[in-house]
Amino acid sequence: MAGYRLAGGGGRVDRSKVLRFRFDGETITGFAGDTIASALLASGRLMVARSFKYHRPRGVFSAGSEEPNALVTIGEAARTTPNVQTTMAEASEGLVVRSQNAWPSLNNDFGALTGLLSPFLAAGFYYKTFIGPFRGAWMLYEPIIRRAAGMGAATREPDPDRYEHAHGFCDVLVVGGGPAGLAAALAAGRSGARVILVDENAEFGGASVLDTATIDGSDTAGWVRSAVAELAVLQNVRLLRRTAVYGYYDGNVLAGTERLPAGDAAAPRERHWRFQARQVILATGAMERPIVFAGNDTPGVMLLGAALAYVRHYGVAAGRAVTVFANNDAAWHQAAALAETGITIKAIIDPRDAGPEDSAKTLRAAGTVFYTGHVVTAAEGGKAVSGVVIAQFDSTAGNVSGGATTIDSDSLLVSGGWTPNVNLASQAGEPPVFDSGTGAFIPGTPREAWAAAGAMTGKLALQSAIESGFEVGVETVKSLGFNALPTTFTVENPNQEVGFLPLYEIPSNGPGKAFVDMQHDVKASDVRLARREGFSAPEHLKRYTTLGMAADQGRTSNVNALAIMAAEEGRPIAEVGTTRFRPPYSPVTFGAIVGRATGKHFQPVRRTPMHDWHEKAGADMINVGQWQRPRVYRRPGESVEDAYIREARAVRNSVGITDVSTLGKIDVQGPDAATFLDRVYTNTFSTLPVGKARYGLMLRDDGFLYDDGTTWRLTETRYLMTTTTGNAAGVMALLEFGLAVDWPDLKVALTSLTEQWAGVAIAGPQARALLTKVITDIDFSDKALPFMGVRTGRLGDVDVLVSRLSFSGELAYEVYCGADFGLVLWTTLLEAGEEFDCTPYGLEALGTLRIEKGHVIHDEMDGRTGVHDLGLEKMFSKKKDFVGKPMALRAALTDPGRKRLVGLKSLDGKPIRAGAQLVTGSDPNLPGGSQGQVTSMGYSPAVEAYIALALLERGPERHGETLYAADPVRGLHGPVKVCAPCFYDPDGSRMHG
Amino acid sequence: MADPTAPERRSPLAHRSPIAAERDAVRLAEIPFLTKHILRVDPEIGAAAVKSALGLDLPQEPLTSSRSNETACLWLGPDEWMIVGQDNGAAGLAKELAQEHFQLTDVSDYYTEVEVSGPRAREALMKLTTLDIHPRAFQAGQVAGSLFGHANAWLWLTGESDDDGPTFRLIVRWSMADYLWCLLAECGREWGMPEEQPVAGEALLQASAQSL
Repeated sequence: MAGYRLAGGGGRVDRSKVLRFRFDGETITGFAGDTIASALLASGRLMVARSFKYHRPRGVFSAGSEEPNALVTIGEAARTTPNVQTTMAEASEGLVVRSQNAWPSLNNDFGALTGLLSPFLAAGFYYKTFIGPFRGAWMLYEPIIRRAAGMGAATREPDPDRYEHAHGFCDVLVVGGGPAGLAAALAAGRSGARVILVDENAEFGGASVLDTATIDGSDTAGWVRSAVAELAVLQNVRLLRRTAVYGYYDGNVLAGTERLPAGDAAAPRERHWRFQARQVILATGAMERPIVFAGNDTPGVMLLGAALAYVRHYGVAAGRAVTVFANNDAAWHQAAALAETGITIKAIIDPRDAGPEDSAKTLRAAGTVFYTGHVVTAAEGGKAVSGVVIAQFDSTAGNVSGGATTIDSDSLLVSGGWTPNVNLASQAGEPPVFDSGTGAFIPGTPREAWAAAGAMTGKLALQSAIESGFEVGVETVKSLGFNALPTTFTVENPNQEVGFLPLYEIPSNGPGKAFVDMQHDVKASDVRLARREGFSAPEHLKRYTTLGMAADQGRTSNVNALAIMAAEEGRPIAEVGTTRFRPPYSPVTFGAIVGRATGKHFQPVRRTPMHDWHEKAGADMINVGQWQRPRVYRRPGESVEDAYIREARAVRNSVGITDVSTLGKIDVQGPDAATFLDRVYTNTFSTLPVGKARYGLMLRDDGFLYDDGTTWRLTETRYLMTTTTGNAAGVMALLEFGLAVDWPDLKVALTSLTEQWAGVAIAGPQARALLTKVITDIDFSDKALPFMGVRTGRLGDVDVLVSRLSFSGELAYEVYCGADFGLVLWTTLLEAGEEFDCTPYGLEALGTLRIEKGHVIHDEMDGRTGVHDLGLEKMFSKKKDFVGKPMALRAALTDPGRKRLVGLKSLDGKPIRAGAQLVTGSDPNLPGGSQGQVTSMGYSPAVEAYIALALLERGPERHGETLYAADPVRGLHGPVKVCAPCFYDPDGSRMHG
Repeated sequence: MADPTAPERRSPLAHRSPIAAERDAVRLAEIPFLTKHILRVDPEIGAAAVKSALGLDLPQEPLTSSRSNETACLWLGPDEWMIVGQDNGAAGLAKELAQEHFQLTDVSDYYTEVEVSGPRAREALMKLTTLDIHPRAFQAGQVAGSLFGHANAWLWLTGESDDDGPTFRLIVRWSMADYLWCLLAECGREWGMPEEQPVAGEALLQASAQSL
């Protein structure tokens, strides 16, 4: 029992509102405004977690996002969230909190035995297992190690909460709402600029709470309150609390996640922000740096500033017999402030000769014993600090001398100085530079439009932090053309400027472990080991030891590790340098990244005007890009195959209709439209008569097939081009590119009409009879509307465009009308078609019908085939130039040895799978090399066999050969007969009839 | 809700009714069946014809629009505009341009309009668009094409009032209207707008998830 709730104080808690939550089954009582950490501390809980690798007992070490130790799992079932920092998570009524990485319990953790194995688990052990004599055993012990090491487990249930995105634009984004950030936001906000002020904590104010100064006559908390109140009423300022900016990207784009307070069911759980700022002010502050010594991770060891923050914010004391270990003046002021709240500071240990006199006086009066010229060499106690071992320190030689003394203590507060928070600055700037004033790194030169203010630039004192905030704020808005108003403020009784002796580690020869990165269990000895093994560069050190790679991104460990490495190397820290910081600065949940693009909102489902009818009719739908199209309309008891065979027979025997609304449609207009089409298609369109359609092929620049479709000449200067469903947008872009870049002299205009027109294909011997019933102003006789003819007409009151086209090989038409009338067209055809047993058919029947005719689609035009491969040479004009022509004539593309289109007929009555390889060996185990592959297949009611289209080496020369379709994945190996790719009505008499 | 499969002229959001958040903080409504044409023409030639046929200035400034009574002309590109209204006078315009190279294409069915209005409309749309729609950056009459979620649409700010906030219109293609409608409803959930579930695709999404 170390921590406890003080009788008074705590600016963030409301003592009238008691709340209870559970920690490992035990009820913890706190107040509204508590974090989980403050409530646990107040309850006297010391150990709250087990460490990542060695299962060491760990307690609360900090009061902010630098927390390396006190990680827990919060929530239950689907709302389980692992690895939550108790210092950042607010306590709420009924919350369930669980410790991590401990079994069977936090107190008696079996995994702690791994501590005994620690000599074998040092830095780089993981890599060594791949090269050492034991590598064969890796498979054996890898799962054991993985189970032993770790953090909390994520839930496997779907996340029931909502997450959102938001886009924040502003003139000035201020990151960090401490004294400097607030001052910068005030300066910018008062000028009228659009400002967004962001802070990762639940409240603004940063570290101002650690100073006892008065600003403009009020204490620091009062000044923060009035600054926030002023900003809150400014229409041009947005305040975002609980929002961690985690990444700084090119173009002054920053990303952050906002955690919304629990309790509002309508609100999302988190909101992901994408900030776009003209200028950024980074005021990310500094974080107190621990000192590395043996047992420095024992529960009860805490950062000094954190202990004061717990008093000020939550009215919680860290212990009853407190010892302070510090190397700087600011720490003495904070210790004095703690003593003034009635906390017993038993001793203060400082390697320097003296502390600042004003605070020393306060401490002396409170009975604190001073051990100047001393350092802490170890914290004693396993699960809780019981004593602090100190020894004399020779600060010139930098080593411990003389015998050790132990001070009984339940709490050891450490301050090794302050580390500027350069993470975001490093992401968007030159490497951080060493600053001797803080003994750490400060931002380098910006690469994006940002300026830094306050403690992150090394200006640790309150007055200079506020000054620099105002200054940078004013300069920033001036550079954006706003009128900055003059700003004055007065700070009285601030803490004196900081005296500081750089001291990062107390070397020890004892058995106790001294941790650098507590979250990843990286010890000082691991840093030395890394150097001995050749990994002394900071980036190598990081990867070899995993130092700074945990969820806290090395906030408390980076500088100490670099200092230890520098000392080993005998070089200054400035020369060793630091790693490049990368996003994310704070962990980002998948939920926040995904936002609303989940479940039914995952992707747009593109719906044709007849979509609802298809669904109501029970169609199996299939994705075609983002479109959904009917696959088959199954009747009760039918399989997919039964259904498409029935549908295809209906087309061959009577009439069927299918929804072709998804085809791409482009209106091509202008005096040069014909010339333009001649250049983009392999065949000629300038000779096409008005009122007729023609099938066209388009190549890519490299000569391979890109797209196909029919294009209809509506007037002398106007064509309607159709494209495949999947390439509609791509073809449009290609055409626009041609007009804008290649042929700007052509007078042609393009507009997409894809979704203006709903379309239905009517196919079968009764198609003419059916259309004659419903469209009375068009003569459908073969003479008046021949094959490939185009006419306009009316279906009832609806304007329609009719074209006699056939994909199925039957007498067939396509009818188009305005999309809003698509359903009218569809249902009118079905009703009128009842006497012909008019059957709606889906993509499967469409597929089998076109395979019977040998018509190719993107299964065959797969980006690797050309016109010669698919037997379409006669559409390849020799008289004119067109896109892709020279490249299509490359020898490699016209080589008769290439894989070319053939038909296949199954000889064993079994399906031929698309994707199967064509081989000569009848034995599945001795297939021989692949000579081709099956591109599409189906059961042909006309042939009464399974048929397929395939690409086969020298295919057209091999009709009549027997090959085997090998599909070893599905265990299939069946004989097939190679034939011409047209299985049905080869002379086309049915569709021309 | 009307039977979605009944044969009649049917807008893409015919199966949706207008919805609002609590206290009308955000409102959604479809404005169906407006006549819309895409005009592509040389800007100088087009300006005279549009003035004479429609009495409108052809907007030359990017991202702007002109409007008189029921008809508006939206800038979509350097040689591309959308003319929208109840009866937008396209026939007269075509006559005016008859001797020129131009393209005037009926896209009335291609797109529908979703009106997003109310004091919180900006906050709601901020969740969906990477456009800066702050009053200083996006003013009445402005129009911009962008992605809203995964859907392409044009955003047009038709007006703004002190009491009721902005009135936006999103011009979206037929096939994506329902997707966008449901996402817009999601944007308003924070202020009590009812949930709207997309009516298609769930079975397929589940199937593809299971096949992973």
